[in-house]
Amino acid sequence: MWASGRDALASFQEADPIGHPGALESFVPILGSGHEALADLQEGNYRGAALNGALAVLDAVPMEAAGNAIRKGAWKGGSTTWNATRKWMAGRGYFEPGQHGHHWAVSQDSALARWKPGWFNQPWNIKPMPSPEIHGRIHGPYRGADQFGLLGRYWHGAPGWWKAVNADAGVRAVKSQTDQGRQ
Amino acid sequence: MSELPFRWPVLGFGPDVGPWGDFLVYFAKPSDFEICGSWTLEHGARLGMHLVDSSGNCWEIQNIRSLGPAGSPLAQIIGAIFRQRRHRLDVEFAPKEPMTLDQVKTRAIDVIDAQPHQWRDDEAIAGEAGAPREESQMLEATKDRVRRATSLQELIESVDVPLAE
Repeated sequence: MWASGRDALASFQEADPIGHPGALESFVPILGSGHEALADLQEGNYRGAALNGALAVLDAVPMEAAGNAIRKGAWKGGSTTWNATRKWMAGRGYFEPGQHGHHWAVSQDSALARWKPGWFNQPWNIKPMPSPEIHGRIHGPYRGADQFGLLGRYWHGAPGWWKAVNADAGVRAVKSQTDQGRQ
Repeated sequence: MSELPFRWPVLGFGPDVGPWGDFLVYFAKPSDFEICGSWTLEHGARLGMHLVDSSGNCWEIQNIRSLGPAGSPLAQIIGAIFRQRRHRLDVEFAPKEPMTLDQVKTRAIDVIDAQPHQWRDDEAIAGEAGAPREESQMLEATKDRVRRATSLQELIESVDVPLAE
């Protein structure tokens, strides 16, 4: 299997160059990075291929979140009391009835939310929590368990698409350094 | 629709339509009653709803149908983008036995007891601002606010009953 994989790679690298994506294509999520990864792979730039491949995968997460937002609705009109938002989100499959929701970007206790109560009871600002304990440990010690550290709070508190955006930025920074090193 | 016989606000005891069980909403004015969102319409969330107005008179919604989209063309486009279309409604409702405020409070507390998570402040329980609070104590405080209400309006405000949509 490994031999056939190596043969396939060698044959790909000996084929006509597929070239790098143009300026416009490079901005298309998944497609731009994916094309760039294949071009790097064909040229034997395995580090570039890995970084661009990672970017293509990371592009997919926010795209999926955007798709979900379009399908389910990311902004709630009408009443935005917590009761109304919870019902609205449960009705659209964001989370199960009874599941804890965490205000991850703008907390309910922030000056912004106190200024405009309800403004931030919005699907984009609510992350469903796997359990009350996880939710509690984001905010502080909870029922005898310590508060999560910074990384734990970020990991449990932020939605997947936000973590993907952050990782994407990190990979792009590494890639930029790599590209500069190659020039 | 002919002039509505209600004294506003009106409290609605909603039927169990699946995702959240029995629920409470209120109607502040005629347009709240004559317009609803597409999710509410599709899931029959107002069908069978028991209404109590501020005089204690009661009705039950027996039939409901869309008369077409509500709002300006721009509002309709925005509603379509955010998947929150609004519909003008034809609502049929029949009178029921009036209720006293105490009866309304008892029934509201039954709804709260049946769906306590609906009335829960997750962030307070998780300890966002200070020590984590006990869910059971917070629920009891919520029900106490209902018990202390001296009018339907006060009951609605005391527990932040959501506006019907």
